[in-house]
Amino acid sequence: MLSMFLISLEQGLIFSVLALGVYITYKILDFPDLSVEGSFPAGAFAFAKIVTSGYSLWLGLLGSLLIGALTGLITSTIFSRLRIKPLLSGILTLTLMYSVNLRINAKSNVPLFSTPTLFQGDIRVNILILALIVLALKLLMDRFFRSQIGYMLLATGDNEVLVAGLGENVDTFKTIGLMISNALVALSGAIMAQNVRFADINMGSSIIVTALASIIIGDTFMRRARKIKGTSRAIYGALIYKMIGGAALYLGLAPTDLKAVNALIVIVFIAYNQWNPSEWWKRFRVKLINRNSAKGAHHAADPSS
Amino acid sequence: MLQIRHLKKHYNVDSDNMIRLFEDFNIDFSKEMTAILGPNGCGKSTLLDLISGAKASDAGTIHLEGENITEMEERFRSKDIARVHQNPSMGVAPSLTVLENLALADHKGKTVTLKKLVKKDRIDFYRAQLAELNLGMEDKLSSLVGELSGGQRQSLALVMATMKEPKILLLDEHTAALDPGTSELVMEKTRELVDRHQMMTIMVTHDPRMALRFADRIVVLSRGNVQTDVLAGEIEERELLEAFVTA
Repeated sequence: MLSMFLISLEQGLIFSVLALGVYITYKILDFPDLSVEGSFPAGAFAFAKIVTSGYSLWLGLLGSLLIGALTGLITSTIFSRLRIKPLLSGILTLTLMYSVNLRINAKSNVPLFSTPTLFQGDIRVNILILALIVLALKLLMDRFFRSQIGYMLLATGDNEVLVAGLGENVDTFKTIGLMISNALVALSGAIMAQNVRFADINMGSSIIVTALASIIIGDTFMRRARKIKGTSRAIYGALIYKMIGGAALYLGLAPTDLKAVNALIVIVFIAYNQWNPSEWWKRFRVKLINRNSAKGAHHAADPSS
Repeated sequence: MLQIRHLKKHYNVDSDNMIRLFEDFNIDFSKEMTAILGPNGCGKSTLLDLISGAKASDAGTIHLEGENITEMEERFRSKDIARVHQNPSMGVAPSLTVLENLALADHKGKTVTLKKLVKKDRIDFYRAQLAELNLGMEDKLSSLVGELSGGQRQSLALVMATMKEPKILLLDEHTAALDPGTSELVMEKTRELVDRHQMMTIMVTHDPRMALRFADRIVVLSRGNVQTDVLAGEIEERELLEAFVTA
């Protein structure tokens, strides 16, 4: 039980970095960016290439950030220059990145057993290291969103007309947002590769669901806590999400069922957010009254019944 | 002075539904409040779009204080031209606070960097700007703009649009989405701001009474042409209503 909790916590912290990245596109820019499914493995593959070539862990992490930013730039360029819709821009980028990822190491799976890694032998130490990384990223993001560029990015997601009216180029801020978002996603991919000790071409598959689930869960749990920042919500969401997944495994679910569990978690939380109990009760009562009055009218018209 | 010469704007070119909105349109605007009236499709909002640069003209020129701005992109024109839209949410960022919105407007025309946007030494200035509205908004600096009423949001949009004293203020039916009482209040605040900053103001409206009451000059458009162009004191309400109906 404890080990399952610690593993979930460790994974939750890795996915917190992913959630922080997707938070920018999904919550701030309202940009459905599917290219994260390409940037997540890209980060892992760039990291694998750098460390297996004998370079340091830190250079590997920097490489993952850069390839992620480049992925965001590609999506943004397709979207803003060619005026292709965000969803399709992301799909095109992730398709493109599939081949790029295979090119990086010329194979679809790279083992990382004897390369430098953030992770030490003790899971508690790993959790501490990850928690420090996540905290540092969160504080950096919070500071960024208090800057002039950060506020313009927030305003871009809120009201593009206003930003254009302020004399700014809306596409510039979308590009900045997409680059930061994908850089964080790729970094998460690089950290995940170190955790599982390999980089795999399919590790980004449906990763967007994990990210969205984290953000939605965070928002649901912190619905009334308005003072809690979006970055904190994304982190809490990722942790809770992995805990739910861990609990499902602990209760005997097969790991192959986890993707279905992931999708169900998202569906349940979205449905819960949209469900308004008082409104539902009102409608239910009206329906009940209408049915009873219809029955009454039927009885009155047909005394034999 | 804003000079518009030989302006041409067609829509749906090369189709059966081609609309020749402006063919050879000429008009001058000076530092006064001009109300533009006219029925739907007469070109009121398109005129504002062409002045602000939101749409490009097919031909003709627009000069602002002698400078040809015809080919200038909207975001470069916005240094001199501010616009308040019909929808109160279009001039503000609803998920940010009043203070953050004002700080964004205060930063207009400057290069954006990683330095902090909200500067503590500007807060008193923002408060004073809001206090001039007499809506009690100076105490709502930390409120989310999305939680303000439509009238408060539109008043904030006005303050934001005029903070950097643009050369031209474009008002695109900016009171149309408000109830009559709030609309009146916002219009009064608009006139106060325009007088204080001495701005050239072009206001599109569907309300002839509002135009008569608040504008200095009234222009009635009809199918892309100026049908009536008079000073507000030179026309009776009945005459204006007639011009408006027959436009």
